[in-house]
Amino acid sequence: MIETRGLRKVYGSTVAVDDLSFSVADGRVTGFLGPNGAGKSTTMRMILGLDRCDAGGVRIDGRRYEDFKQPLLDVGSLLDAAYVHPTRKAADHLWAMAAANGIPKSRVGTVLDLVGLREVANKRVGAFSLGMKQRLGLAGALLGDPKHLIFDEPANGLDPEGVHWMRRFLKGLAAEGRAIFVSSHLLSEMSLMAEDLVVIGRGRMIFSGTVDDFVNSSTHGWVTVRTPQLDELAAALAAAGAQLSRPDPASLQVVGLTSDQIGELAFTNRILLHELSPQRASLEDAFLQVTQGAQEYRAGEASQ
Amino acid sequence: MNAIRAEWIKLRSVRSTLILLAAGGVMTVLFAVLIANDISDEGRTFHLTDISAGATIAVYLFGTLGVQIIGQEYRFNTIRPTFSANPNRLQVLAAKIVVVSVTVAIVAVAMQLVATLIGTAMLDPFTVDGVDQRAILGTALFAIGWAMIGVGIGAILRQPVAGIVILLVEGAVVEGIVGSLFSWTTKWLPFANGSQMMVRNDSSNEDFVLRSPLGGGIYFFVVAAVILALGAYLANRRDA
Repeated sequence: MIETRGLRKVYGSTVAVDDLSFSVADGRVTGFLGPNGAGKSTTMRMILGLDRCDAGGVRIDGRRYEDFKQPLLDVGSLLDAAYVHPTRKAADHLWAMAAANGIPKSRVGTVLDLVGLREVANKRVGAFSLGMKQRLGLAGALLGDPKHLIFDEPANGLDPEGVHWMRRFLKGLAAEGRAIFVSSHLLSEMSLMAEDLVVIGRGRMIFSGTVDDFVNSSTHGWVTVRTPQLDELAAALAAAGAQLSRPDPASLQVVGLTSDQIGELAFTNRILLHELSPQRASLEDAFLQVTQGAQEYRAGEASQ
Repeated sequence: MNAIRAEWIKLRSVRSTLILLAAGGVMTVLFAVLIANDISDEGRTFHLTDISAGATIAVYLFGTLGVQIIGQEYRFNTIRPTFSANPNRLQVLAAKIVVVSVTVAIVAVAMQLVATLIGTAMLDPFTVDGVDQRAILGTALFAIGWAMIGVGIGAILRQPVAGIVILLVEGAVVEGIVGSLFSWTTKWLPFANGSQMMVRNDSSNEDFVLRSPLGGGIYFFVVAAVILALGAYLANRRDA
């Protein structure tokens, strides 16, 4: 369990992160969403004790990161796959990290196998593709077989196959009971991978909860109906308490009734339906809607 | 011990650090050969200190190594995985200093021993007296101190290139100019005074009033400690 309380970070006159409190539960993938510059990476660096908090704090199973003597045994992280020395060999890179936490050298081969980099263990990292560096970074995060894993945009720069691999890999890690905290701007990815969501905009909390709750609370589902007896149906629906809008002369958008209810209502009123389709906002729509709100709010605030 | 092991693995798994160490050693040995060849017909008793001028240049490379060992971590952002693996930043810095100090000290002593062999082979009569022995120890200490200053500057600047330039220009250019212009400053020049540890007490430059090998060495290490303390304070306080 990773918990942050009132996290705040100020760079000069810019408030990068403001009063962020959330928790990352064990055995689940928690997605960390926000547009570029929202403060995701800063938050992750504060969790890892790399950036000093200006207010608030972080507890990992009740302890501060700075208090861990061998942190890699409890917390694995991949902030940026480019954080490697180009002329160092992959195995040496991992070996140095392992040695710092008293992890046996044999573990280096194990994690290289896990991410499929065994054959290039003795190649210099500078020659690696971005996808290979991502895998190397993952291997580093897994060195200590930690209960908590923190990944900043792990799918960044991967080809579709690599993204698919990464998604399965992270879900597998969560299924083993680990707490996974992963940021991404690939919103569609997040909906396939994450169960919980922390959404921030301009350093402020927008939403914290499950993915389903996020979509439900941020957007309304609606039902599109087409019928030759449009006015009759509209009257019946309005009588049943639905909110209606008419995007074009031949169809209705209905909010407040399920497609089942609308179908029954049409049947009892002997109204012919040509279309009856429930519509659901995608995670992407929900995300754009709430972050847009945050930006407008910020712009309004700045102009006062 | 884990921190020291990690830094040792990092030091020897990068080519540039090994090249710097080798270059320092080779340069001292090469200079010993050239100088010995030059002075062999002077018809006097020769000492190790007569042919060890290359060590003065080698220590620049050791100082550069000190800058590299921390500056490169910032340049390639590996400082973040490093501090993630060990959040005790002062311990990380201390481990770096131990590793770089032991390494340059071993190379410094080794290159002086090889220079002794060269002197024995090429110069006659060649003796190693107490002053020479002190100079061998002094070379190791000067190398350690210069590497410590390098680590300090690297930690302050958080990048290698500017740190290396500052180190080289300070020792090779600034001290010479400042010392010549203002003779009262000569006792306060860290590189010139520290280098007294590795030379026979000569007075080849009458303008420069320098400290004794012991006094110069102590003063030099005080300067190194101050720079290192500033670097450690900043590395610990700043965002990585």
